[in-house]
Amino acid sequence: MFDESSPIFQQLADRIADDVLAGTYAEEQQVASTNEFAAFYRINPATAGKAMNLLVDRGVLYKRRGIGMFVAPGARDLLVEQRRARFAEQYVRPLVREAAALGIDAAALTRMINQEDPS
Amino acid sequence: MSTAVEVSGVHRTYGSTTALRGVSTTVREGAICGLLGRNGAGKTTLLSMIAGQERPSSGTVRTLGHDPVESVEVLSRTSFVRDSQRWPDDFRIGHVLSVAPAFHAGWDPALARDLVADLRVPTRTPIKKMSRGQASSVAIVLGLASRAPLTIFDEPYLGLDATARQIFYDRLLADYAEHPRTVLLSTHLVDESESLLEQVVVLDEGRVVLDADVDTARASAWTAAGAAGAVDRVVGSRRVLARHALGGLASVTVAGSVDDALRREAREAGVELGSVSLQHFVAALGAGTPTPGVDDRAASVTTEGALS
Amino acid sequence: MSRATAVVRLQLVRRTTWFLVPLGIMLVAGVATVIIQLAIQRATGMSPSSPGYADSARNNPALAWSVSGYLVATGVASISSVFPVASSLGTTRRGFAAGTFLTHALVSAYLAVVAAAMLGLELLTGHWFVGIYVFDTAILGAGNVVVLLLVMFLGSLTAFTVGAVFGGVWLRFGPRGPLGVAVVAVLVLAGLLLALAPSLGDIAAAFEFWWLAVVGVALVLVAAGGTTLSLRGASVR
Repeated sequence: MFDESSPIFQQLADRIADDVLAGTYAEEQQVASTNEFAAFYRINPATAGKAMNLLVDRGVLYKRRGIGMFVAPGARDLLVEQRRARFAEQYVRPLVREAAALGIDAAALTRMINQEDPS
Repeated sequence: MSTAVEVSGVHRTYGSTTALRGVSTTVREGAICGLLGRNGAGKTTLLSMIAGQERPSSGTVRTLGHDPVESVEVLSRTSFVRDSQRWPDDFRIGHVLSVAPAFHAGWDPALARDLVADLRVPTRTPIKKMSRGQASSVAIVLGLASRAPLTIFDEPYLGLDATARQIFYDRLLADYAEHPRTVLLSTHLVDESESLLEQVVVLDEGRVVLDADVDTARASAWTAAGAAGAVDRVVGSRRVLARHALGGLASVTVAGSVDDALRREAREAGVELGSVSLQHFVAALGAGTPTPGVDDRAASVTTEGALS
Repeated sequence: MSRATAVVRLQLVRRTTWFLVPLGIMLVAGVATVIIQLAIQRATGMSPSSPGYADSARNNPALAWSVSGYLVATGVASISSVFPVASSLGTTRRGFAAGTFLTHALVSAYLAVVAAAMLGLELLTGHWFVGIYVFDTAILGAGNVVVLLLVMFLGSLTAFTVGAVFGGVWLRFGPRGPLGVAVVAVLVLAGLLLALAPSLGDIAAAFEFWWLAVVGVALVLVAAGGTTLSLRGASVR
């Protein structure tokens, strides 16, 4: 479920963020507890806690003492903004590099992109 | 942060064999710590000392704040079932279940019964006559149901099939979440147990060669693959843990961490960088032939993540 | 002290070993005695009411000795095979030695009480209706229940603790341990015999039954001490 590419807590945080982005969690909705995540993903609760804390630091979640973790208002927009900043480096750069290696020029690349997403 | 276990400069010799050399480590109270390494690396010896069953030849061990040897405070709060545990003749799982409450204040009989059922431990077979896997199940029942503040599992996976391992995994995590305790777990199965762990200590030939939190440990090595010449150039003088060559290609496992400069250099040289699973890293750590003297300094990776 | 009681529970969880088998052995020895004595009655034509019959029938130590081998073996196992589990469950070596010794004392008391009850039954039934002397024997006090209790208790305890010290040295020294103890014991006995040889006649004349009790107690103490010391250095594996 988690690979060796990066720390488990980071991968879990990304997964939860994915869910927020996809709308699985609505804003102000309570998310599962640290222990529940730990049991579900079969990981150490401390690791799950680290993931949650990371998301709290990023402003995606917030904690209500004695109750649990909730999706922060504006979390979706925040995540979109964060991911957009990473988009170029994470997706575009490898795409351009691979295209260059295969001899696909910018025009051909643009055509392929348009084919993928006619909208 | 309070400490459950503190080991300092522990040496242990048996006659002419040295089982442990200068072992030092600390385990936070309430952490799940994995003790990894090859057979004969000294894992059981170290655990035995932490459990107060043996004395170090030199150095100190402090368990739950006390010297564990002959200490009722420590022994009554510790559970340690060895991988090579010996049982009295005719002793059955039922005997263990009826006696354990007298030794462990937190013993949970319901949990014990559930585990016996889930792990399918035969109730009529003497433990001495059980298969390796069944005996491991007994050890797991004893360790988990004890709720001992310090619970030590010595190679708990031996002989267990995949289903039983998952059951152990899940039950340990579930119980740990509700009733936190310090868990020491020695195992070969690094891949499977990795996500359970908070801290990782690797022993090789009686020495600590890695002692870090699990994330740092996972980030302590990387691979470089590509044309042999290019790979060797990129790797430079860094410490190589393993090297595989096939024709003109090479794949090298290197200790240390990857920074942006390295990433750029690798990209320019056409060398592919990859991450290393903890299992692979531990295996590579254990594969080297020891060089007397040199290994003491070059061999360790500590919590700071740096080579020391 | 609570750890010692935990060890007692651990030891006694194998009820068959401690409570049933010794009874079974005594039963078998008793039955054997019955058969032999009946056979003797028929062969010699003597009847229980003949003069001197009682004395010769009482000269039968079978019952007292029948369980001794088993008790020694159980004593050995109570240390050597139980120590690893006890360590795993969490007990100090002192606690284990104390708890095991307490177990030996408890079971010895049990055996003594059972034998006393059987003696009572034997006397009540007029020696099992056919004049068989099983518990009413010379070595057990010839019908004196106090002597029987003492002999059974101390005898059993001695057997257990002697077994235990063998178990302890085996744990500590491996197979050479028991051999060493046996050699030392033989040497000590030989030494004593040689030293006392000139006065053996006088000793035999002055011999009192209770001297054996003193020897028994001394043996028990030495064995218990030896066991505790061995356990100190014993490895758990």
